[in-house]
Amino acid sequence: MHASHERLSQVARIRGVRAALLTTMQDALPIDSVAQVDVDVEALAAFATSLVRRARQATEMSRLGAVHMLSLEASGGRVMVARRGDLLMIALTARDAHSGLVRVTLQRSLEGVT
Amino acid sequence: MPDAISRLSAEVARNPGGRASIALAEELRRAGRLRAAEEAAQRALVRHPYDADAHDTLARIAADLGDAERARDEWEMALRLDPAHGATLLGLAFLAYRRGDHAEARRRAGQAKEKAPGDPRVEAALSMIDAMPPAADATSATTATPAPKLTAPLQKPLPEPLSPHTIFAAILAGGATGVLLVDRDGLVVAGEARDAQGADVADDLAAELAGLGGESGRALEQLGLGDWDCLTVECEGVALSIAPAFDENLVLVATSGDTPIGMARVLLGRARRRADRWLEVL
Repeated sequence: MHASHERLSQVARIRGVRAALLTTMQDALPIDSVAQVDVDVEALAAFATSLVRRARQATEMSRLGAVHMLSLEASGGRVMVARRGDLLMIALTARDAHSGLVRVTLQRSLEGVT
Repeated sequence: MPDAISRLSAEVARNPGGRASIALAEELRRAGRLRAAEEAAQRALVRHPYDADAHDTLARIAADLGDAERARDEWEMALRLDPAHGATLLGLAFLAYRRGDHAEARRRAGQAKEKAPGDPRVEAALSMIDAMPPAADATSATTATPAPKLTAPLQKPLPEPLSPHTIFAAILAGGATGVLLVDRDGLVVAGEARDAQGADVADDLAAELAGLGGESGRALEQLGLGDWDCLTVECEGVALSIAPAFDENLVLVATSGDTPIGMARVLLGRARRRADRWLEVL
């Protein structure tokens, strides 16, 4: 993927972001990633993709259109996913990360991946 | 007053998107036409979902109707939108006063005084609050001496218990396009949800949502992130915000694509609180 590492680095530089990775809806394997050493990027890619697939299934069944952003918040952090077609850009963040900034950066960064 | 209602009705007819709709709802309330006022306020909120005055007006109407819970929801929403909204601070003071919570009533009225020093309504409220019996605080509300008369509207009895069809009415009026309470098996417990064409999609969404909630929990467990608080799914023209509720149920709030995602979270929090309270007393 052209310029994907640079785009992922933009996301990973935001305070509180522990990992940023690129994957596809089809195979859920990391294409590229920037992550702290304690983050299992393969597990993150697999679970986040599974969640997006399930969300897509729910919204398609309910005729609500295609999913383009997903955010899962928990007591120990957040998983945020931007989608464009088959491509997914995923961020794992601490709970106190600036989620608005991560959300916008994910969307813009994914637009820049060709 | 009828002249004011006629004038404002004509103004709303000329300009349905204007703020006269809020003033009309308030005039109808003052005239005691509460159901008409409620309808007018809800129509005003459709046009002005982020207007603190519109939420304040609906809160007053709810208070007049005896629905203290809904009044509090609307005043809390107004306060989020405008933390310096004096009428809202006074309204929250009235509600605290009515339930015998002296400290909270004094705090809210004090905030109102900071925003509007010298306002005779605020001064009158403070005088009444200070005249409350000392024992009347939040922890002794059930045994405290009944609070003296403050305002006529807030003395009316509490409403009948909310039904599955009305529990989320205030959230729908506040800008949500659908709100659902769903059980662990994916069955609708309360609420409604429709697609852009107006077709009922509540059962479809509920069935799929139950799986999505479970999927979220499993993913977070595997990633070591603890219990989930909230899932937001943004689609082309709608955002779905989902949270776990009391007794393994789920709450879903649907908002249109032009609703800020932060507002969707506010509405989800309100829906979750209402669902929890309702489920606990069923």
